[in-house]
Amino acid sequence: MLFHLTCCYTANAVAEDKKLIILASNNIETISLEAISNLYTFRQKLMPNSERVQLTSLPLNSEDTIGFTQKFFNYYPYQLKRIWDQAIFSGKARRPKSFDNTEDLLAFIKNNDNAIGYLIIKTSELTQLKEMYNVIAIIG
Amino acid sequence: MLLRLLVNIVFLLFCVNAAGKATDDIYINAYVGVGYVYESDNNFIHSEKDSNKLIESALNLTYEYSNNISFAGQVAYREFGEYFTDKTLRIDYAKLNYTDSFINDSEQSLSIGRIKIPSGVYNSSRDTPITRPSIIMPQSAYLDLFRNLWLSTDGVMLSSSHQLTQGIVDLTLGYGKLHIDDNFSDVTLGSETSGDWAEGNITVFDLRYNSGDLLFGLSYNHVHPEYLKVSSDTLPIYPIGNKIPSISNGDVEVSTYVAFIQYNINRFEITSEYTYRDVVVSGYTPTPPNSRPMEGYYAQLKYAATSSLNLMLRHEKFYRFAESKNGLETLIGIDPAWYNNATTSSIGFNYNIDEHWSVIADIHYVEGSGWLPPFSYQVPESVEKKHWTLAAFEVVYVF
Repeated sequence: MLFHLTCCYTANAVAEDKKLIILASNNIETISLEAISNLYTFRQKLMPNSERVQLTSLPLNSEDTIGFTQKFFNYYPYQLKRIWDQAIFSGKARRPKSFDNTEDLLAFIKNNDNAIGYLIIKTSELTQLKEMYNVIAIIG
Repeated sequence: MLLRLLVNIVFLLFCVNAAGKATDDIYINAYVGVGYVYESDNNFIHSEKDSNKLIESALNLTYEYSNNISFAGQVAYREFGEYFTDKTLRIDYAKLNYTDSFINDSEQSLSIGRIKIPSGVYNSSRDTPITRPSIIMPQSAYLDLFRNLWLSTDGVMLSSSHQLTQGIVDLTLGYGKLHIDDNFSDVTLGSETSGDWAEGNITVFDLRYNSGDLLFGLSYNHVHPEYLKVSSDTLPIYPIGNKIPSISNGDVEVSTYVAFIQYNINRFEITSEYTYRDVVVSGYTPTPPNSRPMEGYYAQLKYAATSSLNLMLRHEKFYRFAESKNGLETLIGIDPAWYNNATTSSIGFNYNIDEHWSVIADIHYVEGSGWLPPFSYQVPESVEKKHWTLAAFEVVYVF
């Protein structure tokens, strides 16, 4: 899976001057990309601190979700949604907490423990975002 | 029929109203699917060709009580022709979960209550229209005749997931009681039986490796439900029209072994499963216990043609009597091989209109009648056709 993170990114969804970033709550110091992949596909439910993860998501057709699914999994968003639905309707997991806009998502991650999320941002906004939020990975 | 329609409508409205609502700790999801099934010949979904509609719905709720303890439950209903329609709205699962990490790089989970049964790639979500590979599941592995036996169990399930350098190994062990829908008698013994299936036990074992791109594993389960006759029971036998006027109590014991693999590469998803079932039927008639190993396997290719369109191609084989693949000697002659076997080629698609709406369709070209219900007896060639076609179409709304 990490293969996609290092050399295969060709998604059109993220333009040259944009980055995919992974954010986490302030109580999370470090988390591997493999663990993020496992959490977002429900193969893993607990964070490295053994507490339940609070997954977040943005609309499926948003630039953020398209960029995240392509870059992280080499999937289309609907392929990731199918994995979610398979777990949700068999009682293995619950759907990630969905937000309509990035402001609400950022506020949730900032104000809650054990939350992770993703965003596509302009490179020029990166420094400011890192000062305000716990950015744990920058990809692309 | 009117009552059933009313129940459907009320349940669908409840799903639409309730789904999508959630608090910080409670999560609600639902789906509603409406469709149509066409069959050119034979009696796969009904004995009379007047019941082709497909209605599926489910409403689930997850409540996270604490960091380790959660509850998940789902009510569901399926109307699928005559044979595979749930008699009532049913509790698909309702379980209490405890999840923790007792060993480094691992998670352990204990579930108590009514729990979905993991088996192969799709069993635990086989009724969910948007996650199964096609409306008509590959019967070589997911025989609808026996669907009742493997939907869920009332018992306990323990699973442990261990992270490797790449990927995760997941082991699940379970034990519980079966709960069997009344329709199980119709599809296995015929419609002229009205006894009860005592709720036998099920033992579950499932071991799988999942790296995201590659999934493979082994599943095993053993079920042993018993049938308690009533005095008016009659059992249809071949030739058609004849009956055994009085039957005794009986039981069926099924041990299922599944080997499965799924590989994702670029936009392709390749899936294959091999299923072997050791079926022992005892009682009903004065004959000694009858062992009937079944075998089935399929290979399936899915291709994400666009971000919204998935195409599916599948080929499968099923043998009702794995030890008599070339035909079966009976008291009155030899049944041709196609009576007990089935070779199926399928094509289909799934189109996601948006985040909530999907359209699904598939066509199945079948040679043989091996997986047709009722399962305990067969009908002559004048009724059962060697070559036949199944087609299904469904519109699904998911919250």
